[in-house]
Amino acid sequence: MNENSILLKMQDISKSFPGVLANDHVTIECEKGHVLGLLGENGAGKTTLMNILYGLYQPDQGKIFVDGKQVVINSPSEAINHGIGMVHQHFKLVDTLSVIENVILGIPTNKAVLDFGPAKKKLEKLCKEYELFVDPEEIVWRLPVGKQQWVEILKALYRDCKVLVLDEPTAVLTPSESDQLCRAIRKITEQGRSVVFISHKLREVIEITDKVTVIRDGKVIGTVNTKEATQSILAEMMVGRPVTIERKARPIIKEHSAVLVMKNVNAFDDRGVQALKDFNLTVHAGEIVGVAGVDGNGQRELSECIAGLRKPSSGSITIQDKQVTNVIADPSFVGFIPEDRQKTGLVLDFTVAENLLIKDYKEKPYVKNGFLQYSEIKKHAEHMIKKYNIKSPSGDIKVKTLSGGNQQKVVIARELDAQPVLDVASHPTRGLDLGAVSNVHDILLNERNRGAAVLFISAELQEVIALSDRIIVLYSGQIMGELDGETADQFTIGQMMLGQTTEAKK
Amino acid sequence: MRTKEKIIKVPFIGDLIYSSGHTIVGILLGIFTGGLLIAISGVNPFLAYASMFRGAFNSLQSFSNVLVRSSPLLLGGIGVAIGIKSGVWNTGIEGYMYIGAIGATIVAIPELGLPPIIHILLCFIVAMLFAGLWGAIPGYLRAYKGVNEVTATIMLSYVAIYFTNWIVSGSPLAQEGAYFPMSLPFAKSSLLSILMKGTSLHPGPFIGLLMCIIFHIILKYTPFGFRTRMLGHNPFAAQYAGINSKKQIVITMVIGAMLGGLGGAIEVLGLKHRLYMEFVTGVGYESVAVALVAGGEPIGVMLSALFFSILKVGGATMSIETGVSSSMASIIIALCVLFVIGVGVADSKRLKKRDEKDPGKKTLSFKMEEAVK
Amino acid sequence: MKKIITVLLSLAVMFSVFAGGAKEQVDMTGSVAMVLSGLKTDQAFNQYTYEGMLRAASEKGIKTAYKENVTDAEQVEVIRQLAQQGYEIIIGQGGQFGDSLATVAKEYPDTHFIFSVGKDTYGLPNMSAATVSYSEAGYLGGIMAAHSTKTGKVAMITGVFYANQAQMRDSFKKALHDVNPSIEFTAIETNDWSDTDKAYNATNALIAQGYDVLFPCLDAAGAGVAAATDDSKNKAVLVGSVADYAETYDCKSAMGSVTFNWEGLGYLEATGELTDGKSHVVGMAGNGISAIYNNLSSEGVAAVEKAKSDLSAGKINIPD
Repeated sequence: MNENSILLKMQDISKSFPGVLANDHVTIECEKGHVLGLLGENGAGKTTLMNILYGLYQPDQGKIFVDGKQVVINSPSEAINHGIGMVHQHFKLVDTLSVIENVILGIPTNKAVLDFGPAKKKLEKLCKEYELFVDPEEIVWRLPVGKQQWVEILKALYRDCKVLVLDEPTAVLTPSESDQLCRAIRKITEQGRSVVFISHKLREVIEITDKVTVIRDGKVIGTVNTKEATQSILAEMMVGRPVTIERKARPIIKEHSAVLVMKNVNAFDDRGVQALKDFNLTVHAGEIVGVAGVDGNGQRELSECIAGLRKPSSGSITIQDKQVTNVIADPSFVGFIPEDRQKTGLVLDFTVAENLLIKDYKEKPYVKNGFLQYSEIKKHAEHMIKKYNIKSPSGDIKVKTLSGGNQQKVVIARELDAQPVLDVASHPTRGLDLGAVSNVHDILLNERNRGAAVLFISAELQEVIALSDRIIVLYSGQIMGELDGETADQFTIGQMMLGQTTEAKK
Repeated sequence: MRTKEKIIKVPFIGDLIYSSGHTIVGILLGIFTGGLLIAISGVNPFLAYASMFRGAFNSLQSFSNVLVRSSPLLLGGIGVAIGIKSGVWNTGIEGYMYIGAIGATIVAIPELGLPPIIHILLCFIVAMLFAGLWGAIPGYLRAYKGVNEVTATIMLSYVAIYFTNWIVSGSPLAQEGAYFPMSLPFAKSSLLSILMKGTSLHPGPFIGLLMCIIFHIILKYTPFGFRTRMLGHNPFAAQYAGINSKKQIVITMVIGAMLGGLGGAIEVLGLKHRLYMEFVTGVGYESVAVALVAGGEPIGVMLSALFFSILKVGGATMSIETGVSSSMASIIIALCVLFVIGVGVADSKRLKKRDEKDPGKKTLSFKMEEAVK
Repeated sequence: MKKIITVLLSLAVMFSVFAGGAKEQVDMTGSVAMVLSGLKTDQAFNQYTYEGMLRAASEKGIKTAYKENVTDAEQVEVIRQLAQQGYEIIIGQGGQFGDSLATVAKEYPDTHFIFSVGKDTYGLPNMSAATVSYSEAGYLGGIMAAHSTKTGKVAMITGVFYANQAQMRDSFKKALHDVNPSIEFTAIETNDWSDTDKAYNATNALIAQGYDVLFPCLDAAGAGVAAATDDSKNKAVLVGSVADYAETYDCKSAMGSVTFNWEGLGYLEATGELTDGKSHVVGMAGNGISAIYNNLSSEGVAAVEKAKSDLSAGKINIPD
């Protein structure tokens, strides 16, 4: 390999935080015009490394080279001057400003009055060049998330970056937007720029990148040419043991009574747009019904209607012949794992023990003579921590100090321990690393085998296929099609997710 | 790192020490800055503060003044604190005090021939009923109509003030031929007894302290308190857990209003023995500051209400003895509140920054930041 | 935590040293303390009565103390504290102090208390009351107004009719009718002593109804009445009370004013001449009020002068 073609090199970078070695002698290289994938589980040290590159952290040791020259980066503005652009996982846009204002924000100018004219022309040219179209005058908060990401990318390109770092860019994108992003990345690299693509989604990494560096526990496990890699090799490197998300064997359940019955349900989302249209669904005891679909096609409203958090405008929902009218807060009846555990599923400032009881706090034996019995609450917490293997020193610490996977375990323990007749699991594995994902899958499968009806909502096709007995595909509030879990294939589901019925395809 | 270990071993005490650390630093900064201002106004700040200290602690009698002053602050402060705990800013204490006092006045003026204890209890009940109904208005508007409770409560406070003005000057309850707008004097049986000769010490401050303890227990050890705290920390989770958050908001605002109303009733029954125009003069708003400095904690309200009273009583003495402007006590109070909040915000920013750089240290809660929000 | 406690302790020690050191013996003979409901810099009642006390103090060389901005809740506490400190005369400056003065007066029978701008002594031997004569002021104002009106319609504007204002109104009306029984008279309340806008609007409304002489008895809101009459294009004129409207509010349309000599009242109270347990009304004789002429016709001036001497001679029957 020719040294001169290396555009970015981070050599022997180490960074430790008290008690954690986040980066342990990490070296990565990115060639001119190439896409480097940075793959690793959550907490492996990818983001720390990129924050060092962007000047947010200082490495304890190690060197950074851009275009063959050693640079010291103390702040993001220095990083930008060295030609490094970054699109963070959580966008750093000013919501209330327009696109063009966001793009030129922070660029030094010696004019007293801003002249948007030339800037707008330049931005429009970039839009055309990369096919990332946004209206420069639109206010950022009015844009869908995907478009906001375009703005972030255009912002970096506007500053003429040599290296563009994308941190988990596809997490917020629809499949067609992902394709658009891929095309844009190709165009960016054709011009001799380089892209560092951070992800833990194997498929994408294989599709987009030229080389992949895998990081685990702060160390580089290896760098491979993407052409030579397969999903399973990368997954094994990432996790340290062979993992497959394969369909799990399951016993056949005899009992098959209908538990959840939804008839002609119509519902609106928070903005008043119809989210469920004449929706009909039956989930039986002892089966997992997987709901596939691009996020935002009614999944959220579906789960909320079932749990009684959202009132349908018409139609009926019954669970074991009981009409759903109010919020169901009885985990021995319905266990509901909400899609956003931090916003909905947990009270972050409450302790683990309190969070385990936010639905049952007024039941015996936790209340006696009108007073909460903290000894019982604590005992309960200790029991659950052991039973669900929650990594928490005790029940008395605040739940926000736990990792995402352990927070999810708290929610699962609370929702499923009382053996509900219906489980509604909405994106239960989102943001979890592979080990935790597999753990959640096992739990849900056990629920099915126990005889519970399980509604499993996820945007990850692979896991829907791996886990479900029956799969429905949701598209703009309607069921586009229903498939058997045993025979379903990704391609067909993918078509349905984009609103094309199999019939139409035939 | 030391703090982290502390928190994990004894979370509650650790947190308390930590958050009261903010408060103490803030108060010291406030007192220090106040001292600078006193020095600028040409008075030796040490002499001034000594005189303030003497004014509050010189004798049992002077300390009784501190207690008397703390009575409405305690009740108002705990009323606001309960709101903070459930995530609403019940800033209408001023109005609740007037409305409560009006309620008490209506039953306190006539000679009902009741034994004092019954007559007083009757006054309390009517006061709390009046104020509770008054507080239900902004509570309903906030919970069911989405009207900002700060605006609603403050506007209603003005209504209450003008209503009081009419009661003491134009209504049949007003004293004819008075030199200041005031109501008729109260019946003897309705007056709170003086607990210490030669002072104005009535049972009010002790009722206030008791309320703080009761609400500490309610918030921490009852299902109602659990609900309230859950709602305050995360309304989405509360709804998800089946809590009727609208009802809960109305209930906490009504309770806050009742406490404010009781505070107002105690002022007129214990201290003024009539209803006067503008007898509250900002105590309702100071209650918000009391709750803020206390971080919404009932036990903290006890301390911060007493602290405010010490500054107020001592401030009067300071003003008389050293000629420092009478507004200085209020300025020092305001400085302390600002610094307590400022230190809390600055520190939570510092922690956040540190957490970003060193995720290993991520442990502490950002109480004040929440309170400010 | 330990550090904080040490700092607190050392501060406490410092305070107690100062606290101990500050105790000194002072001669309290004739000493006076005054409590004010507002600020001593309000350019009105509070400031002038306070300045009166200062004048008395410098003439007589006595010790004084004051506390301004005394709120309702702290009245008793502050008055009691002053009594404890041994002040011989304690003056409560304002109608709201009556009850509180009486409460403390019962506890300290050897101290003299003066209820200023009130008349009630609560039947206590050590409590006196003092005020300027609102009746005389009203009567003189009435003579001025009667000699200023062309339309025969005269209006009085005040904040609220408390006992004093009511008396003023009655004697004002009597004076009007003594000059010309056919003069129409009305009196309105704005319910706010310092809201200038409200006073301005109220005055305009009165002028529109044909009232051409306005007699305000207000605090800062007086500026609103002055501005409204000035803006009326000579449709209306003003007879001031309490303050000198021509001087204080730069009122061009002021015919004259009956001013209250608050400074004199404060002086009188502080000298110790009013501590006899009685109610004192300080009128023209005691220099409590005075008439000031601006645009008043010479016959009007003569009429007021006559009324003054008649009042002193007791020829006119008004309550005091």
